[in-house]
Amino acid sequence: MGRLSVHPEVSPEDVRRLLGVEWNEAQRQAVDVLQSTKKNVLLVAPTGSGKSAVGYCALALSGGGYYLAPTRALCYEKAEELSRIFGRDNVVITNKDYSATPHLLRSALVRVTTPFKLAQYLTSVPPSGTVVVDEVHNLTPEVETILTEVKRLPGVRVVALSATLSDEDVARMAKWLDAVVVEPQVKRPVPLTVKAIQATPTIKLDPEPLPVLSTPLGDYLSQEEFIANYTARLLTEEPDACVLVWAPTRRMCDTLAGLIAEAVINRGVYALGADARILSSSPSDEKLAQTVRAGVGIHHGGVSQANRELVYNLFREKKLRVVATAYTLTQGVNLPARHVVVTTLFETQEKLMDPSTFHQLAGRAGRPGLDPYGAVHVVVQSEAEKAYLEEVILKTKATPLESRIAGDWFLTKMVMHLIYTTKQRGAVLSFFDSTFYAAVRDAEEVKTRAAEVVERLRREGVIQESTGGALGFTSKTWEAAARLFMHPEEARLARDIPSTLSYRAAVENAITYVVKPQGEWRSFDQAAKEAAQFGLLTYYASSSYEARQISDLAQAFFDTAALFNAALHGWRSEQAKAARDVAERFSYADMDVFRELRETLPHSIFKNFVRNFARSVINGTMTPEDIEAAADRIFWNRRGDGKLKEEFRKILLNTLTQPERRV
Amino acid sequence: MRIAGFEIEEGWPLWDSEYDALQAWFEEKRIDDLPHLLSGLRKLPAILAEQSYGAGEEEKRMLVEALKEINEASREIASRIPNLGLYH
Repeated sequence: MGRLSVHPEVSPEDVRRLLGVEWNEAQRQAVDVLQSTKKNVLLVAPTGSGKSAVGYCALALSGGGYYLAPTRALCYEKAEELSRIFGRDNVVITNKDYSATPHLLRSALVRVTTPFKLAQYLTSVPPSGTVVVDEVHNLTPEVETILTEVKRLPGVRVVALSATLSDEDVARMAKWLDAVVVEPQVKRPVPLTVKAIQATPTIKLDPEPLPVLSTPLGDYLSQEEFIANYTARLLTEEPDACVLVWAPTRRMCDTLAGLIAEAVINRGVYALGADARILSSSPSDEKLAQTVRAGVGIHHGGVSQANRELVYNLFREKKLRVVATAYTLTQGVNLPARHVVVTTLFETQEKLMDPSTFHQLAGRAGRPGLDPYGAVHVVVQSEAEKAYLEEVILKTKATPLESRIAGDWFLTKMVMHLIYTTKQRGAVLSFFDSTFYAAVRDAEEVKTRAAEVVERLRREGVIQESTGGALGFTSKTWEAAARLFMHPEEARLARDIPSTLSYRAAVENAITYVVKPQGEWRSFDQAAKEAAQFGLLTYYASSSYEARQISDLAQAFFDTAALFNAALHGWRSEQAKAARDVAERFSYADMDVFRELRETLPHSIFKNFVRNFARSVINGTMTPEDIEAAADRIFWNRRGDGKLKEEFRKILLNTLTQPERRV
Repeated sequence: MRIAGFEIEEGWPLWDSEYDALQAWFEEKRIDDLPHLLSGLRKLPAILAEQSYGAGEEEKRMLVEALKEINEASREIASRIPNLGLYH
């Protein structure tokens, strides 16, 4: 079907009717403001008060625009809802899951995207109409840049939405955006309670000292086992309720889903169980294929896109009663989860959850029109953790906002992009006067740093300055990089992927030159000796949280590299194809080689294999002979473990040499 | 670092930073690093249990004492958390 060339006329009243809702007080106030002024609007209202619908009204009033959502799951949900309002043909979604050409984006009425993607399209498809920024408290450098740029565009309105901004930040954000604040003094439409569930590590003394978790349901050997039973009990007590279980890692989600499925089957409380065909392409998908029959879903970045969308839809229809999720369903989404179980207050071993993250997560419980109330159950393991929950998290409305644009890596990308769009040193520097950084800190400080970046780019031969003072790029390579919001280092590597580097070298370089400089990693090193011994590229990160960030940054680089090579050589070029290939292989291998080995090998062998190292495993180019040699070395002194050795060889062969088995 | 007669050593499963945070608390009642202090506290019972495999009555009594000390530490830390000025 062709795309509509005529924009449909949609009024706020149509939005309300098509969504099938009645406006609540917060929505009524916000829609009134949208209709009475053309100024930017900052809407701050509790979770579950229907802020997104206000964003849709803003898009309707301006005849379209962009809807920015921080996660892929939220993009998908918003695109579905916006399609009901504007028609599927008028809504385009673009993020890591969905690609769209600039032509397609230009022809759409509403574009739903992540900030990272919009930054790449800022010049080719500049915003018009309204830009709705959902969850604006996620002030990533990309969001700050986009908002700074949009504020300067005539006739474009920003509508920023948040539930978790402190009073001080509401004032700062409103001043920066020159926005009318709508902060209705309303209670959350659906009441929400938060309860600490104490599961204290202790020791059972008889017959031998045994570490156990002492919980309200009795003693358990593991936290996962307790949570599975606790969740099953919630389902038993309320046969019409659904539960969202949050865990900080993908692996814990998978484990929990399996245990919850067992627990609900044992209690006979699995109501429906989805009769869904799950295509298995990763261990998480395989686990999902098992748990879904008991009405338990898994939703995180390690589950394939198709399965994530399936789980989302089944949960909405209450055909799944439980979903275990990491970070993909924690913000903004509207699901019938009466209960949210927060399995730990630790996001990583060294990072306690901050108040904004907690409130966002808690806000998934008890959504209007779906449940009469919401309950959040937080598992704590000591009086001290309980105090952190009650005295810090619950008494802090939001984590203070900070600008993050002044880090060298992002600033370089930003300056490149500004040179591309403005061509003038003065214009590049004056851009920073309009940033949030300038509004809350010191414009001169960031401008000085930006000026240093301009000089460095000139010295490195990336840009040149004409006698008239105009700035320009010295080659089409740098110009394409600047347009796509890339760092010069990314462009150098992206350019070299196809012709000169092996897959393994491409990944090593990306980690070393692109990923490492972007974070203050606590610890992050290649486990060179032991990894090389087995033909693997193995990296050690301080936590699975960091490993995921590292992996995401590397994958984002390869995705961008494909776009970059397509811009220089065309989509079907060898260069673009090679970058896409690396991206696909990377995303596959990172996911699960490590996990499979851990599950298969006895602990002692596994420890020898990746002792103190691998949190993230990236495969190298291993031949069957390399695998054979690796298996021989690992099982050198274990001649009785023939079956295990065979299994080990099989896993390596299956997972390391079949990049087409993509997650 | 000693807790009720048990010697707690640095090394797996206690990360360096967890050990340092626990030491700061048990030796000087300082909260230098709350996240690592709390995650270290979680691990102490398992560490003590591992040390006490095959324990006799006397050692079991010491274990009970050590657990009391850990719980007391947790309560004391809890009472100081509101005054740490986190996020304010």
